Amino acid sequence: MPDGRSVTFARTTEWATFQVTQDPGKGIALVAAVGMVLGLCLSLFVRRRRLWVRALPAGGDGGSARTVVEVGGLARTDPDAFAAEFDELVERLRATVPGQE
Amino acid sequence: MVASLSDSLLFAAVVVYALAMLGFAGASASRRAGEVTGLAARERVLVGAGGPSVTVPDPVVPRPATGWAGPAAMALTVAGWALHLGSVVTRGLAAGRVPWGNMYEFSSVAALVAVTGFLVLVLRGKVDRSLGAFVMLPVVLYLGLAGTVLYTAVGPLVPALNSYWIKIHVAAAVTASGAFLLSGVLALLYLLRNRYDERTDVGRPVRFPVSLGRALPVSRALDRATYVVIAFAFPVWTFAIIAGGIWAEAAWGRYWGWDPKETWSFITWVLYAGYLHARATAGWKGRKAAWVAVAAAVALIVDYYVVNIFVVGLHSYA
Repeated sequence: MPDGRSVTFARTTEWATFQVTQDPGKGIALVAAVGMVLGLCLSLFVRRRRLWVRALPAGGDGGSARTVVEVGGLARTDPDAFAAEFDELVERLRATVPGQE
Repeated sequence: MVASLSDSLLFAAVVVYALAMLGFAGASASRRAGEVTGLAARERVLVGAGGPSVTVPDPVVPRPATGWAGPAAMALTVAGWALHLGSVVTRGLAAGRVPWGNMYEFSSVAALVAVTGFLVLVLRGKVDRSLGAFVMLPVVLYLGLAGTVLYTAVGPLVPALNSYWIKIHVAAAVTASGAFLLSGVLALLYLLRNRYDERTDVGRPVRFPVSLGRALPVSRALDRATYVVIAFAFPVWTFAIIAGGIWAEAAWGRYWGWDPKETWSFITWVLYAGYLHARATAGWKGRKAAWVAVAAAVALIVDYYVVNIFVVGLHSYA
């Protein structure tokens, strides 16, 4: 060194660090996480929708008996797509019933 | 050799994407020019009926609406997509590993996922291709930034990433990220179109950014497209976080440790979960839900770029 002192290499000491963890709950967390993904996929990709068809006699008898058919629908997922599907179902229902007004 | 081919392909892809963007913009501009032509013709008839002896100067007749710009822009987008895919594949071949090992590669693949999502939406008729210019602009800027600022030469993985989990965890993360970025753009476009409709419905004038809304698909289609993309990406993102937890357990001895990356992934997850709930809730659907989707996309960008570059944590590499 410029001021006359010296630096010498003395020795090295070997060392190691260990980190130990114990997590008995991790299996449960994994099962829960997998279950969550499955439930999520079901809730996002299963389209929940309900359809009601009610046929009520509406007076008249014999050849002039009338039946009023009411159709209702409710979608919990994707109402826009259901509206089109609902219209199509009503059309198909109409096509199968003969002699409508 | 293959590495420089990958770079050239990416450059070509950006150029073709930019041309596609111009094509989309030209298609909507010529449609608007068509509207103006109709208006000008009406005015001329009126003036002519008022005084037959008056010579009417021909108004500047804009180009008539042309039908080829839109399809050509779609074809260019598909061509750019193929070049982009080629760039990603050759990158993987050059590096001898999955092509999502650093931020440059991750960004490129995320943009590829976003463009794929856009093409799927248009080809399946979920949205009109008229939003092409608005989607390709961020794609071009994003790829431009990725290819310059984040560019990394082909190399081996940093040791921390050298695990088969990179194929699972990062593949899921990049797929979800690309789709989420696309959904963020769609949500912003929805908000723009929504504002445009709101102002024109009451006859108020629209100024520049809002006036762009005229060229967009109807807001209902944009809302649905945003939802479809997020509904796809959200379970993938959830899976990515879980796979990351398993990898973290194997690598660091704990599956969750509130590392900055983990925390921001969780914030992003909560915001997207919030979007899905908001969209299904009366009083929150529509504009408020779209703002949640935008906030979630911002959290995703923080999660990826800010956390990786500016925050010190266990994910600070690459």
